[in-house]
Amino acid sequence: MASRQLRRIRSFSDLQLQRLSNAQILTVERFLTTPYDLLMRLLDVDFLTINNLLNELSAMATPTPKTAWNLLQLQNPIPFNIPILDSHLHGGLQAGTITEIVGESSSGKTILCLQLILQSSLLPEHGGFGLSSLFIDAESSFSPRLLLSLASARISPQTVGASENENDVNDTVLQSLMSRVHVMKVSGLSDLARWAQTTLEDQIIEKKIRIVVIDSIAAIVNQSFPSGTSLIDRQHMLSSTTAQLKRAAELFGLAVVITNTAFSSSSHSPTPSLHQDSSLFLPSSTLSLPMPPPSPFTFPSTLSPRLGLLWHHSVNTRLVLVNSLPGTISNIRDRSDDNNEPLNVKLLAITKSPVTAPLAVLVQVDGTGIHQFGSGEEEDFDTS
Amino acid sequence: MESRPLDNIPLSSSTLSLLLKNGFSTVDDVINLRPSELAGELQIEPSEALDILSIIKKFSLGTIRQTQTQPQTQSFTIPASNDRITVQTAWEVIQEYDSLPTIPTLCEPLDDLLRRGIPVGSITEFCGSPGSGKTQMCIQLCLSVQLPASLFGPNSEAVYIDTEGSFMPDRAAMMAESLSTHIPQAPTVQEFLTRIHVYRPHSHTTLLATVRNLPTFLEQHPHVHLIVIDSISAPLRHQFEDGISTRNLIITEIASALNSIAKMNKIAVVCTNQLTTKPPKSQPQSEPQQEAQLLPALGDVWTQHVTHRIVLRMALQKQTLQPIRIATVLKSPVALSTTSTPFTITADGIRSSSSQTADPTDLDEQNEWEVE
Repeated sequence: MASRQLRRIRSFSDLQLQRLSNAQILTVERFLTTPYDLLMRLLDVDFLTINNLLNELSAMATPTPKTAWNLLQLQNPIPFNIPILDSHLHGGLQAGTITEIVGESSSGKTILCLQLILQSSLLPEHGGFGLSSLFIDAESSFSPRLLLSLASARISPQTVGASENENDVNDTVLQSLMSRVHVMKVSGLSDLARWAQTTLEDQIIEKKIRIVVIDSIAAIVNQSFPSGTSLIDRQHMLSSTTAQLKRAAELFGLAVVITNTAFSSSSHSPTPSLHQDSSLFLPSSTLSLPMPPPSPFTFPSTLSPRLGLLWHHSVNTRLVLVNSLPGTISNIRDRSDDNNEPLNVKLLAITKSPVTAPLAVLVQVDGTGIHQFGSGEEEDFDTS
Repeated sequence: MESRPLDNIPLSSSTLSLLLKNGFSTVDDVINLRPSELAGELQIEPSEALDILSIIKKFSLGTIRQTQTQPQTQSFTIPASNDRITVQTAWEVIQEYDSLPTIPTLCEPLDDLLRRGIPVGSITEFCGSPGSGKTQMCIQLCLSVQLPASLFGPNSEAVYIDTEGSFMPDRAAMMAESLSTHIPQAPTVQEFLTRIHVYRPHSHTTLLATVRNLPTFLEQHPHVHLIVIDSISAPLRHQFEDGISTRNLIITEIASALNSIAKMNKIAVVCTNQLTTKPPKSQPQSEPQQEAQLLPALGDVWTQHVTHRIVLRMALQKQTLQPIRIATVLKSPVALSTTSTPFTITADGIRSSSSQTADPTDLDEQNEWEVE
């Protein structure tokens, strides 16, 4: 309750309130961050009184602690429907955290997001949660058709033999499903920051939103920055927006998924053009510094997520989608029975997670979504 | 000895001017008066006079003690409160340090570097890049403080202040399960987890309020022996409306509150810190461009309050090219020089690394650390 107005607290006299408001100290938050000596002068009281006041107001602004056991009981993750991933992430996407999905363009980021949206929006009889979702679209990547086709694949896997009657039922199911998915367009980071500051909570409460997807954060940051805004300003705005999202996620049991693009580069010799491009955020040489290969994979040295270190610190879980790895795809081809069918196989890796060690799974993308590829055994890759 | 002037005492400005107007200028002028006498002099109520006197007495203790205190008997305990200052010999300090309980990290080489683990009574900082194992280390400590083998006795508790939303009860349950199956008389998973109190402040103000409110919480939960803040820097890295001075004020307040909590209640305070990039100094064109540096966030204002700083990072082993986790003690009064040890994170938690080949010289350093 840090934003509580001071005049609603009985500890102050009218004169003191007047003096505080003259000094622009109107809220508990502001009071707590004002230096002692200034407060003593304003309120005309001694040090001990100020100390007591600060303790009293601190007690008001302190969040209530929960035990870890309570938190464990409250968990309600949204599964990815990729068995290995779900089991390692303890059920999937955890509420109250920010998950980042990094990948190059057309590596399957958006379809993975849509799959999560579907999972939370489907009715419980179809294996979902029956809750709403919000898709923040910065790249015009949201495709209702794709969502529809994913949904119909989930609801009725055998559409071929379905009678007309069943199709009608499915139509109403799909219609209600689509009306639970909300899409919002934003242009620019300042828009997003203002939204997180003001209407985020209203929307969550009003529309019963359970999952927020931002696709993609790099596009939002790249859009329309007025000239004169410094790099540091952007990073701070980004970081405070993330903090707002986290606060809402924690309060309302929300899962937040944010996609981010990555650029391919060889980290040791950045070409001038790449260097220029990435210097929007950080010198690319520093980007690759804090990211040693987390597991025996080669990709982090060739794939650098955008937005730098401060951003990387603020996401809780980072997933990386890799289009293809030289060497591995040919192995898969050899193993697959039907060589004629072009396989759209990607590597999905967890590179940062508070619950599991780095890990990678092969996934297959088709019209029905992203599925685990193969028998379910973890694939073991060697650096090649 | 000169008597202390009254404007040195944190009195309200109106009280101070009243005293000065009536000719009182030093502590000695006032300190021996009775409340009724002072009330008469200043034409105020005796109760107000009593308040004034008690504040003056409280804050002028330093001057009074010179005449009043008896030589202290030799004591092995930390001073219980600020107004009891004992003088110890170096030998006593060593004895005291060794008798204080510590919290094992369950990575033996790291415990050895710190002389038996994370000590109580001071702030220990873990810093590292994302995914380097900071949060894992914190969860591990919350559990190992509750182990029957540690010196804290049964029913130890921990406070976890989670500013990043990264405390995962699932992960804590996994690690707790491993401990409770492998260690005799260990608490059950439920007991382990019920004794971890999680706060989730999301802004610098609520973090400050939480830290200020900790003494009250500790009165109600006297068995708390560990306070974790994961991370200290996350809420402090946004832009501050009032500029850097407010930020530094808040950092100082939090740090000094934590330090006094650690000392008074014999609690271990563990913080994690993010890394930040320090851009290279601009050089003339002819000179080679310097690499940007990675440094712990928050700057010197924070660093000076930290007693132990441990850096967690990943490095590549030169021969096998396998990634390996390294903990480096960068700053500590007990470690003689900057020393490193490998560690691993398993499903069970933080453990010592099984590979004995981890000679730090054998590593392809990912980043060079500047030692202060």
